[in-house]
Amino acid sequence: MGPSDVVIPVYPVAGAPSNGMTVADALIQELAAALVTYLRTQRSHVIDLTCMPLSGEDKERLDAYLGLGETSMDIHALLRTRIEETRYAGVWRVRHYGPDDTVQSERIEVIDVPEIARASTADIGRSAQRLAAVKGEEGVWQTKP
Amino acid sequence: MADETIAEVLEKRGFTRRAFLQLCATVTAALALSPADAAEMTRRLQSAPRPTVIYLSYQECTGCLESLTRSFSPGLASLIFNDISLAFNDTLQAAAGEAAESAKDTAMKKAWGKYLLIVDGSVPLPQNGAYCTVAGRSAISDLKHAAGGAAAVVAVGTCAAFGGLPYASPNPTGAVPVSDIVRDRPVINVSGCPPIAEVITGVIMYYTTFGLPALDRLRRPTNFYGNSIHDRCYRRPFYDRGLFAKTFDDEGARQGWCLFELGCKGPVTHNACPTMKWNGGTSFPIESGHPCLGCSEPGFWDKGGFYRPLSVPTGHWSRAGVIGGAAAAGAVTGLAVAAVARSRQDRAQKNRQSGTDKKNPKP
Amino acid sequence: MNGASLLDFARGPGFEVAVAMLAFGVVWRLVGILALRRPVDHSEPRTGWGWVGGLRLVFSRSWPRREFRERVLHWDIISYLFHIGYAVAILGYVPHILVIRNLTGLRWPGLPGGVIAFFAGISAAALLALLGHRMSSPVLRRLSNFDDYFSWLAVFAPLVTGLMAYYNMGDSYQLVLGLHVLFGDLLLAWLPFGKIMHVILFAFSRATTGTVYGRRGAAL
Repeated sequence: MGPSDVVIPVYPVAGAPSNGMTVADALIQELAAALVTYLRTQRSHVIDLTCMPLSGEDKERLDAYLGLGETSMDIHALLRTRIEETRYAGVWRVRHYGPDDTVQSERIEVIDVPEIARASTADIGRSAQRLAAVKGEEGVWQTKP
Repeated sequence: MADETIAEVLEKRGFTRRAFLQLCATVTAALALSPADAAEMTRRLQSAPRPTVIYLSYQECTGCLESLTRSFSPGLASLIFNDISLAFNDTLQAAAGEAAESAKDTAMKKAWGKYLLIVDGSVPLPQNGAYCTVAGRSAISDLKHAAGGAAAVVAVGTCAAFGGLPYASPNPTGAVPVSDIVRDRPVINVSGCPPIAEVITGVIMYYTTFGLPALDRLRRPTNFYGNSIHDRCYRRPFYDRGLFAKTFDDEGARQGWCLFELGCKGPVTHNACPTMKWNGGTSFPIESGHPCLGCSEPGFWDKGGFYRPLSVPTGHWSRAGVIGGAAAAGAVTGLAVAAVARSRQDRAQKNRQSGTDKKNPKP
Repeated sequence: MNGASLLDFARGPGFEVAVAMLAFGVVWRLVGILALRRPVDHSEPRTGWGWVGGLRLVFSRSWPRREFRERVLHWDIISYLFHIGYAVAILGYVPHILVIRNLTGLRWPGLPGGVIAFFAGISAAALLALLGHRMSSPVLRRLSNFDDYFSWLAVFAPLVTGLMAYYNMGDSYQLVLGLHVLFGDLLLAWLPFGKIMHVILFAFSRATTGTVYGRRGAAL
């Protein structure tokens, strides 16, 4: 499947001003290209918005463009992380929050599932050990008749 | 200990790999790395041994350490700094006296030749360094010893980087910056009074993964000190349009106009304040309505006044006195010259009348 | 010497010395010239209003006479572009106004940076054209001496370094700014001792000539 077969229409939100190219417009173009690349090569793409000089208007436009999709996840690890799928499948917004709920890192990821949401093989291995240990002790499994 | 990786430290504390990814995401975001460099950093951090950091304090006010540990979102900074890498700091540790000194020696011996030495504060030279001693040892000999086992030295704060307040005129203790003493080890200057907490931790993380960062002429990492405050300032459009606040409470100040006239040193100051901001990204001095003091530049205490515009002459000379005095001297000189010229004119006139003008003899 | 210490010197002792030399030199030359004995004109005055001719000449010499207009008008216009551009850059840019306020207490509103850069750019281009003219015209070349070229440099150097600082050109902003201020100091210090003194003397020389000719009834 060539890139020409893949049509991902991105319609600008009605009512948005169309006076020239904004940063949000440029980001949308980048995301559209990244989706095409992902379909062809499975190569994921990340846009880090944390230090990008986005104006309030830019942010609003970007939010309006991307919208909110079907899936959202929260991770409570070292930091709190909020993952939201956008209206466009494969385009995710990942925000890491500090202890005082300030955004420490904000990125847009183009991938099937954001890397951070997956359980790593190492962690699964440790889980298996831990579960086996629980099973080996007088765990819940054996007390049940 | 030196071979343990950061990921393993997190694992031991019961975190999953997600914690590591969160750490990578926030660190690369703070470093403003390109996507490719960010991916590379994440890759390298997985296998990078956790850094050993030894933090020594000399002529300083502890403001830098305050910046680092009391920042609004201490989670990440303290995690990287206190929990992962810090092997010795006499201010933060519970131990005191001889226990503290032996802890320092142990930490140094364990990682001799490999640790990252952070120095906070300037070092006085005269009287064999008697103006600053810790545990009976002068700062100068302590620093020379510690630097001997360091892979690199990070001079945190303007005092360590450029001398700072102790170095300010008339420098009563003969203080010098760290780079004047440590000459056989790479020195990274992380200047600022204090530096931004995320910059300090960012430099440590960068060093851990990539080694020495690119440095500017003053040995500051260009990642953070590559741009002037002025170039990244959100009030820059007002400067370009010639709109300036003239006092701290005039209409211009309320409108958020440029603070150049109030002495802002942004045009000659290199730091990351406008982009990284302070207190967890809340604001930075100019955003709070105060001109930049230029605290990350050498000799910022002696730039002729914090509230004096950058273009304006410095020095406390009397304007009227100098101009008036020079003008009076000029008048005296002018009169003397004119008197000489007049007497010459008179002589020429007399010669012409008596017909002895040799230059223009009468026919 | 690095950019920071250069700037410190240029804003500090350098500027102080330059201002003192400016005040000293201007007063010296003015007093020295005005206190000279005027030659007595024994001829019968054609009119009692010779000073009117002096006043007229101060302004009429600002534009070429009809007879020469065709030959020199374009150079006069270029010269005006330089002078006006230079004056706008000096008197309209807020950082410059702040220097004047610091010295004299006077102040006035400034112009946007873009406008200043535009005028300064025109001024610099005109200066280059005028230098080219001076060096290529056989007559002007013979008339020119070290003073002309040094004065040109003293005028051009602060202008071009100022533009470089404004557009953030060069390796280090501080160094460029330091050079700009230092060249500004040089301009102030050199002003009374070279041909740039015409900024003050032009009125005196024109008025003197005009008065003498006016008294004799010459057409001005």
